[in-house]
Amino acid sequence: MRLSSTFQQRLRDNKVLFWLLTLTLLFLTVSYYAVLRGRELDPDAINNRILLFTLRNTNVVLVLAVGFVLVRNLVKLWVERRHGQLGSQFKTKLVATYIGLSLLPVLLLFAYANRVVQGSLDTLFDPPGAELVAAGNSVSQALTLETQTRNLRSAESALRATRPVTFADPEQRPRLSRLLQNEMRRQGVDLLVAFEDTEFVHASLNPSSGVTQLPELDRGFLVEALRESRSTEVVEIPGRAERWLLAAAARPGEPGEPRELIVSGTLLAADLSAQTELLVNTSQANRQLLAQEDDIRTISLLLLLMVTLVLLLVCTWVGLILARRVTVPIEALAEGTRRIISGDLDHRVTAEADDELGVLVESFNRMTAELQRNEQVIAESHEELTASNRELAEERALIAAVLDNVAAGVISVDGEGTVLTVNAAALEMLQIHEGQVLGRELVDAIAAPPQLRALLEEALASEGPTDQEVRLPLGADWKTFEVKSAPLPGEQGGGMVLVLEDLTELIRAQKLATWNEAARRIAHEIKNPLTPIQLAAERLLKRYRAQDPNLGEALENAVQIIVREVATMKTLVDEFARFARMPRARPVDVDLRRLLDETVTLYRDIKPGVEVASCLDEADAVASLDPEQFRGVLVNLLDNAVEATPAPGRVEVHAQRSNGHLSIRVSDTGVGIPPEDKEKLFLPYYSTKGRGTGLGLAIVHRIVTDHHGTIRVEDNQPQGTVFTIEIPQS
Amino acid sequence: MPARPLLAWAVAVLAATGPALAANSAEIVDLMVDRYGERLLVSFQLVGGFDDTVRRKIESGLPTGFIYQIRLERVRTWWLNGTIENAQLEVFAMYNAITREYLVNFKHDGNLIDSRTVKSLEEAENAMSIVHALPVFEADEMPDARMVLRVRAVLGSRNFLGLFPTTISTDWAEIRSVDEPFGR
Repeated sequence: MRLSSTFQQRLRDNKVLFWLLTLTLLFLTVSYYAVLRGRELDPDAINNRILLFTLRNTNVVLVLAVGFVLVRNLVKLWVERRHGQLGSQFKTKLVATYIGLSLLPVLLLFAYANRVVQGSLDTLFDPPGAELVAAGNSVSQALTLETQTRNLRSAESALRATRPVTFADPEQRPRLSRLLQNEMRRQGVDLLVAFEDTEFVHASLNPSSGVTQLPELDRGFLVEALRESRSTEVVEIPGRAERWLLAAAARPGEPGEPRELIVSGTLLAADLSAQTELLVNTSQANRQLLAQEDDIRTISLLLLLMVTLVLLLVCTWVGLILARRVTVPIEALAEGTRRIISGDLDHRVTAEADDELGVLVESFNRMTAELQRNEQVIAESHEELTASNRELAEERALIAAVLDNVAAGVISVDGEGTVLTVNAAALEMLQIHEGQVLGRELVDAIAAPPQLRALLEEALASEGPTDQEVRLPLGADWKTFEVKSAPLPGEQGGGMVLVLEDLTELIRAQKLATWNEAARRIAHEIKNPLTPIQLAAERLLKRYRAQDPNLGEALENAVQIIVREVATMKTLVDEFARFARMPRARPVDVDLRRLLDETVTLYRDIKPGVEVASCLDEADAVASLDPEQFRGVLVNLLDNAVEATPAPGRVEVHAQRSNGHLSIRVSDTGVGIPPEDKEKLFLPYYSTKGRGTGLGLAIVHRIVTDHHGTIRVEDNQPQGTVFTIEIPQS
Repeated sequence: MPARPLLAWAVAVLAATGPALAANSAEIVDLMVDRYGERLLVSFQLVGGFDDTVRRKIESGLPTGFIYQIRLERVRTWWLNGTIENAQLEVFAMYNAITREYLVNFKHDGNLIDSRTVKSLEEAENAMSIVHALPVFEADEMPDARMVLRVRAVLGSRNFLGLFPTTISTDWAEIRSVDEPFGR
């Protein structure tokens, strides 16, 4: 579609140019021909005022056309420049250049052509030989005049010679004829004709002249001769080149009476007549030209001026068209640039051009289309991003609402430990304000006690999730927190989220439950020996009342039972007292390898088929532990493991240090622990063995907790159980 | 620049831009009206209608002459006169250098009514200048009103401001009927 319109526009432009140039060439050709033929034009035609009028007004129209084209375009340029239209300065320069380039040669051509034409007219009005023609014409006129004079004398002589004869008398005609013949021969003329008034009487013709017919005499010629007594005339002979020169003389007479008149004629020879006519006609033509010199010069000048104006009009017009072909695309590009800058990316430059400007227009439109596509993509991305942000904001608001309403404290930090978010529960737990922590490093912001600071630093330093408990003095109370950390996914530089859960109430409830259980068990354990004691005492009383002869034996048995059961009760009370009175841990640097070796050695070969081994990654490992309490921990765990492991089996103690932690794993290939028992395993007086006090693993848990560590129980693979102890090491 | 191109430039400029020049001192004199039968006869004479340019043009053989415009008008006291009839007499002379005669033709409203051959320029001028008893209008068609007969000679034409063709003519010469129409 666009190509089609471009082609049609181009075709229209080319058609206009073609017809303009064709008509101009045609006009110039006709004008040039007219100028060249001007000197040969019929005087009547040249004298025609209509021609001058037409030429003058054509020139005026052309001047107006040129002026209109020039003024219109100059005014347009002035207006465009005044309004600061883009490209107007360039257009002005281009149009001025084109007009200047067309005006200058045309004006020079006009000046030169005018000089040539005027020179040619000078030659026309003063042709070579004009004086000779004039002289020849004078000679011809003089010859004619001389001949006419001679004819007039002949006519007068013939009148005198024929005085005795009366022309009107027919009887005297022969005598008249003889007299005229004699007089014709004597005077050397070719014709003598006698008239009575204007009535023909007799004629004598020279037979040697070759003319056989008398000339047709004009009646006016005869009347003038009768009136003036003499007259002359030139008469042409139809169909012949010769010409009669005639003169008439009339005899004086009384008014009203018939008068006699004789016409004398001389035949002008054909060649002499033709040459005379040529001289006269040439001379007359020169005189006619001179009489019309002003008009001819004016016509020539106007013709030339008309040609010049047409050339000027065409050159100006073509110049403007060419200038427009350049400036229109540039103006369109400038306008397009302005529209694009103002944000109208739908705008396209539609100026037609098929040269480099066309390539530029096409490139500009492609660039605009690309900009439009990019802007559309950006807009779509912006919308998507806005929607995502909206969703994120909603999610963030939801999370914030959730976080603000959950009991756990949640703190997010970036890789540098700077607090990003903190929820209300965390603020309440840590008894701080939001402004104290946001944007600050967490460990500095909350003025944490050393143990919490160490825990936080450890959590921040850890690459994976951590889960630790810490007991902190907050205000007048001590509180126990479970601190869980997990890396923030996608956070640049290793951000982390910390979850603080206040376990104080939970632990307090657990302790209460534990003590309830302990009291129930203690009561149960104490009740068990009391029954035999009660029964022994009642049996003894019964035998005493019955005066049983075997009272002594019965007494002895009862006392033995009572003593035994009291001893059991005493043992029970001692174990409980020892658990209750367990001293606080006093960590010191301990040779871990030696501790492990000494403990493991106790259980080697204690059970046939069960291998007991230890493994320590570091050759010279020193750990901060209470050696006596930890020896008890290991003994307790190894005792349970060896007991739970049937032969063949293996019990292994593996210790290692990593990330500031000491990790001790005691694994076995035994029967394992059911999941429901794992939760109660570290409670006091809980035992799956059906014997013992059930305080062993509770004491182990107590010792590990006193070392700020954790202990957990898991299934060993492929079978058995694993106890893992983790103790922080500064 | 030579003198002739300068002259040509001057002529062109004057012809193109100059105003029309006033007519020369030519005038119509001896205007008379007679009646012959049913026709009005007009006689007058052109004085000063010939100058060297006209004479040179006649002797060069170019057809040269004048146009006499004759107008019969009804006299109105308080308004412009109303035209009753118009007539035109064209008089042109052509010189034959071979026969050395001047042919003078007379055309009345486009119809050739007379043709004379004279021997001299003076005779030709007289023939062209003196109009004697030219029958122009029908007398019986005259309205019963006071009338005026006006005559002027158109000597040539120019272009006013170089653009608009205008005639060079004498002033109107006129003769009025006093009490009754012409010819009563």
